Amino acid sequence: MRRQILGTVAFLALTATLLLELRGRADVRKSARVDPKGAAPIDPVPALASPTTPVALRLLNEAPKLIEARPAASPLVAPSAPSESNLMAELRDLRATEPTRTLELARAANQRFSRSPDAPERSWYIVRALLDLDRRDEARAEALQMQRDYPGSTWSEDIYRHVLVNPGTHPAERGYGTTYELERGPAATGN
Amino acid sequence: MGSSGGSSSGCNTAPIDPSATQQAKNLLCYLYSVYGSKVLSGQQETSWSNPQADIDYYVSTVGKHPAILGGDYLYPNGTTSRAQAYWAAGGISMMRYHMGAPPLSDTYDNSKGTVANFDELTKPGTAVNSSLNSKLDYLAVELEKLQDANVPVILVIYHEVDKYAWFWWSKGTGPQFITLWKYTVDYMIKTKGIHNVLWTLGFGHDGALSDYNPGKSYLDLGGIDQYDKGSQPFVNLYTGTKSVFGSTLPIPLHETGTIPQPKDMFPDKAPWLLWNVWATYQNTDAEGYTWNTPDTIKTAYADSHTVTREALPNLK
Repeated sequence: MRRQILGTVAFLALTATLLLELRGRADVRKSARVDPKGAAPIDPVPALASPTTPVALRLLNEAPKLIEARPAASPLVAPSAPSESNLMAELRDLRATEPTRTLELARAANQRFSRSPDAPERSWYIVRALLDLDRRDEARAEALQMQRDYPGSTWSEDIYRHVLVNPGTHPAERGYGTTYELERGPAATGN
Repeated sequence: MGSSGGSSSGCNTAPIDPSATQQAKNLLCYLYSVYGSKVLSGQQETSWSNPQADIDYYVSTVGKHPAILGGDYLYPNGTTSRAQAYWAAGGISMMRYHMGAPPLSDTYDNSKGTVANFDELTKPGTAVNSSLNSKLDYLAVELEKLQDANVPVILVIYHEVDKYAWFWWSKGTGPQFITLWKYTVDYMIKTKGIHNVLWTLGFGHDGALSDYNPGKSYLDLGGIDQYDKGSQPFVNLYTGTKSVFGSTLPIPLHETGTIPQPKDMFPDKAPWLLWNVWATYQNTDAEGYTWNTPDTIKTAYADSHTVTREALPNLK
């Protein structure tokens, strides 16, 4: 009997947690439509399947796998944890110049304040930091996720333009297939 | 092709390069002559897939060509020959170069890289300086082909300059960027003998930055890019840019999502020198937003202030 009661309580708690989580995700999508800079209109979901963004199409299916593979931040928050405004101030001061620290801060903050209007800006920092760390596939996966999570945010749009329009690398590029400028590679000739 | 009228005789301005080609002089004089009363239409080509399609869209939609064809030397194959063909047909070329961060190779991803020691870029004997020179040597080869064919180029070599923005050239301080800019201009003119270029600085979305401005002795044009929605003709951006470059230097909108409507720009709200729509933004819903429609494009191209390729004077 006691086991049954415990089981029921656990089931109810799990259900309540799931409902709260689903509501939270809905709220953050709503909040993302109000741009933190106050300049962006409300727009429909970006057309990720646009023929102009083959890189987006190619990576669309890989995005969930790459994002799930990232290390999860600790759900435990110390009583002395900095406020969201302090975290944002630190992130803006960093301006992505310390990518490891930026990534750590932005991810932890997005876990703690997932419904905040500042969440899209933090995701922008995450993408920038991943690129600076040369983790390009992860950066693209995060960029695609941003388009889903925060449509209409200028932060998502900036990421779209710089990560999802031009292919990251392409056979038409001068340095395609090589790492360094002066290394021997395919001849980089013009016309 | 319009009537002759691009000659630099009687023109009071000259490129910063004292050995500039006659065609570069003609082009700059023409740009100065229309600045404030006309705006040149432009379109960036999709260099990595189907560059012709961007221009063809205008021909099928409005029956005219943009005055300016935008290219990118990140993608070498065909970029120079298309510029040459566009000039031969009466148009103008505006180039940029998503250069990889030295010492990395030239890929779009690498253009967003970081140079470990920015000061070494201009220090002879360092690895990053050798890499930078190699990239400039490649660029010089391409520009020399155009020079030999008497084709001038508006070159926005380091574009979208913002404080710690996306591209490596923005990841230094203002003085470091100015040193890089001056080094690049001097290297191309004095070392490589390139004299068909109008040197154009392009700021980014954050607005023009006075501490990144190398000054008029190193600039022929000073512009900016933006992707604002619904606020054309982008008056605040124009005003802010003008406050940095001054009232005489023509200001191109060298990259945009939406075409600013000429009827809203003149006489003095935001009289851009030119607009250049980014590749594919003329007819796709990039970012889930309709930047332009056939009707807005037709309206802009039909405006009496707009210069198309067909209306350009002979600048040869």
